Amino acid sequence: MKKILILAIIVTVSGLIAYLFVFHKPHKNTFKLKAEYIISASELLTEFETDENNANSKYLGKIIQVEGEIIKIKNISGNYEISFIDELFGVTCIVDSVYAVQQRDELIQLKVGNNIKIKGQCNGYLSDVKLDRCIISD
Amino acid sequence: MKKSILVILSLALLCVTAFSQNVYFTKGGNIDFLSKTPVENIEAVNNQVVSFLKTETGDLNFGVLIKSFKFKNALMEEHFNENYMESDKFPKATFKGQITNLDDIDIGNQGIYTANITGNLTIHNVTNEEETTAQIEVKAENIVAISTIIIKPEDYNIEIPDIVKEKIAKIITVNINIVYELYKK
Repeated sequence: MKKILILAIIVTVSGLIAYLFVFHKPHKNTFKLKAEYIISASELLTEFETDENNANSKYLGKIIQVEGEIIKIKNISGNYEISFIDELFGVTCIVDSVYAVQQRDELIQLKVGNNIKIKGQCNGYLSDVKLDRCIISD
Repeated sequence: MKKSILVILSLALLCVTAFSQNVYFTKGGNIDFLSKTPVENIEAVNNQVVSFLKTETGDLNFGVLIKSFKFKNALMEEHFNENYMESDKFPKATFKGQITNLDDIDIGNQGIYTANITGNLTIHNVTNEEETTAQIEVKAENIVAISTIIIKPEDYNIEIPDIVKEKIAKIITVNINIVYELYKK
């Protein structure tokens, strides 16, 4: 009887854990992820401009680190939008509010003209190359 | 003398029309959608929408990256990208269309107008003609556009397995909310 009870508890608890892991797993945390590619913002943009399909298969959904000179910083309701090269036709990195809160000190110090490294997930290319879930990595 | 004034005037007018080829843009437009069923509601938001509006011609362009849709639930986001939208294969959705009642909208005057819009919507590599209306508010410093479209996943070849059919609505409400700024180059 005791054995059955223990077994039942184990099954319930592991079921609950599995449920939480599968259905309520947290979003990926950029802080903990290693960049698969390290590249300058201008090289990244060039790759997308010259061969979008190729660049997509290489970078889409991947964590990459880009380096470049900030040309614009915008705070849109807590999400920081940092642009490299050109505001509309460059590389745009979004530091989502969740990360922005954690990196408030770093973000406040950022100025146009600064050279920085940003790590985030590459989502693709519209008029600009977009990265989100970004963090300042340097 | 009179003639030369007339010439200058018409030249000036020509210049004005040539330079008022106004282009408005945003790269932080907002699109969200809701799939509502008795079982569960699925919501996602994308606030990195790129859009251009040419007020002279009424041309309207949208570009949306599928991976920029954010869900509260990480698993839903994963399924949305991997199983339904196949965002590695088809990373973006686009709309190329036009305001068809441009005469009713006076971009030079502040106010609220209703725009009729038709165009081609491409999602999941399938293009369909869509029609909608939008509320366009011309303000001093920008243009605010609000619209809603109804999308059926099956129209865009998005297959929903039987096992989750009850959880995903047959028609999805998509809300579009854009603040256009004047594009200066």
